[in-house]
Amino acid sequence: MDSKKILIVEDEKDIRDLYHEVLSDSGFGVAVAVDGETGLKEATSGDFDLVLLDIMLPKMDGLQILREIKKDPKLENLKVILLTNLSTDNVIKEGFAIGADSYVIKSEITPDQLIEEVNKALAPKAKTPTVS
Amino acid sequence: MTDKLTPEQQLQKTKEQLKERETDLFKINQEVYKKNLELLKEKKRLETILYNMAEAVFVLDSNRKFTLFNNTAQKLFGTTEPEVLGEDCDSVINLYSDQGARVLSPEFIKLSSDSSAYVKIDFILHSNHGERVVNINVSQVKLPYEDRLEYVVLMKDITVEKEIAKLKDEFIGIVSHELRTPMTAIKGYLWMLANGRGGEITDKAKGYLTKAMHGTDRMIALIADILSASSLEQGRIDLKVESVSLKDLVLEELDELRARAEQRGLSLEISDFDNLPNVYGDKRRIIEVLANYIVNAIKYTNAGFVKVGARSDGGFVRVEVTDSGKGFTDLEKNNLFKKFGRLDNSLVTVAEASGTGLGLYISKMLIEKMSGQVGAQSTGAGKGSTFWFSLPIAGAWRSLRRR
Repeated sequence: MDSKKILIVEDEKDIRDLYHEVLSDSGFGVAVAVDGETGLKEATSGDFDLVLLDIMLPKMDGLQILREIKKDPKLENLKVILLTNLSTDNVIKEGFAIGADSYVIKSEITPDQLIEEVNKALAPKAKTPTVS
Repeated sequence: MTDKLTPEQQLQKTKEQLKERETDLFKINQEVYKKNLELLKEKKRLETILYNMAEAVFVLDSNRKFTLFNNTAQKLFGTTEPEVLGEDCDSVINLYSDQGARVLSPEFIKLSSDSSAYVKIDFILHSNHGERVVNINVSQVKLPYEDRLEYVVLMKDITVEKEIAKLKDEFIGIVSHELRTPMTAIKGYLWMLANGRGGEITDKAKGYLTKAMHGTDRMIALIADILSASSLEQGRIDLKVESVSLKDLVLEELDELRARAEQRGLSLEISDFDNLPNVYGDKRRIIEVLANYIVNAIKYTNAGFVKVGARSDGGFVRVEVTDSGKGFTDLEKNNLFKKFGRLDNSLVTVAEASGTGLGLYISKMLIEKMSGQVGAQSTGAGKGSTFWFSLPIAGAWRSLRRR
């Protein structure tokens, strides 16, 4: 079976490792990027089905990367789930306005809920996702 | 011997009398002079205070022409008092609030026309000292001995205060972010352990891990609540106020809470939402408050019911959450809506007094931000309680704000 490929752009090592592990365990192909610049390079490479994109990143913030992704017609099918730890509506609202598919508040979800969100975003013809 | 004075004597006497008058007059004159000086000194003293206070003060007559313009105002607006006296307010000051309202427009002044009311707003002033945040405050005074009104306008430069508030905001934002990141890792890896991802574990170990996970969840909720309480305290929260149907809101949102009540063997009854007028408020925030009331009711009730009802009351709709739970005493009542004002834990018979102790405090601030009120009643410990909040009926809101 052709496994879906996921890019994790997250600067916090512990969280990056955790998500890497749970996603690999669930059968996804996983790659990581540790800052905004490499995150953008990887995300726009065309190799991925979904990006887990942290918002607060060194070098370039997640929303900026999201803007670049949305500009590129080749990446039309690339799904983006924003990772945040600040449940401030404005940032999330802005993310949706730019074209994010979903978001998770990292501190409020467990690993199985992350997998659930990822599957929901990757499901064909997913409706507007709701967030736990 | 005769009574008759000689003309010389007569003259002498008149002279003496005149002299006396003169002395009297001199004394009076001296007194007047002294009094005048005192008055002048007092006037100068008050003037000096008024003209040199840290706040910019100026006075407008009923035609919005300047009658006084203190030194601080002169500095703030880069002009002098003689230049502006008698001039129209608009020719000197043309200011707009952040919301675009013209500051000191006739309507603005009129808002302060009720003698007990005063208008107080913050706005940004672009002056030659750069951008300043200024708080403006208009009060109406009736002059003694004269049948006319004047408007005293007081402007305070609060740029520094605003900057400090902003720094505090940023600090809390950073701290809360920095706290959440390690909590996220702790929570995630505890979950991995508890779910056997690190190898087989005993049921006992799983129980410990589950408790540790609950602890982290509470900590995370506490960080979130501290952050929202802090934003609310500083008035730095965006409300999306619109006309909201409470019925729709209750129908959409209460399923999960009903399941939670039933889990504890309680019934969650909802009534009287059918013919309610819409209210003005931020839908998401109303849900937050209502859910908070209901979760509390469920938490503090061991048997019986939780009822949610609503009714129109004046220009408001009042929503009530009544339970058959532990209730509270008059003494406890005072602390309910305060920070960390949870009921005495020793009385809590529910498994665990979870929660952050900030829920009702945040609820109160949110409802008050939406021009409503909150309250609670109980006939005593063990006798159940009612927590309510009110919100202005849509349409009635505008006139209420004007009041």
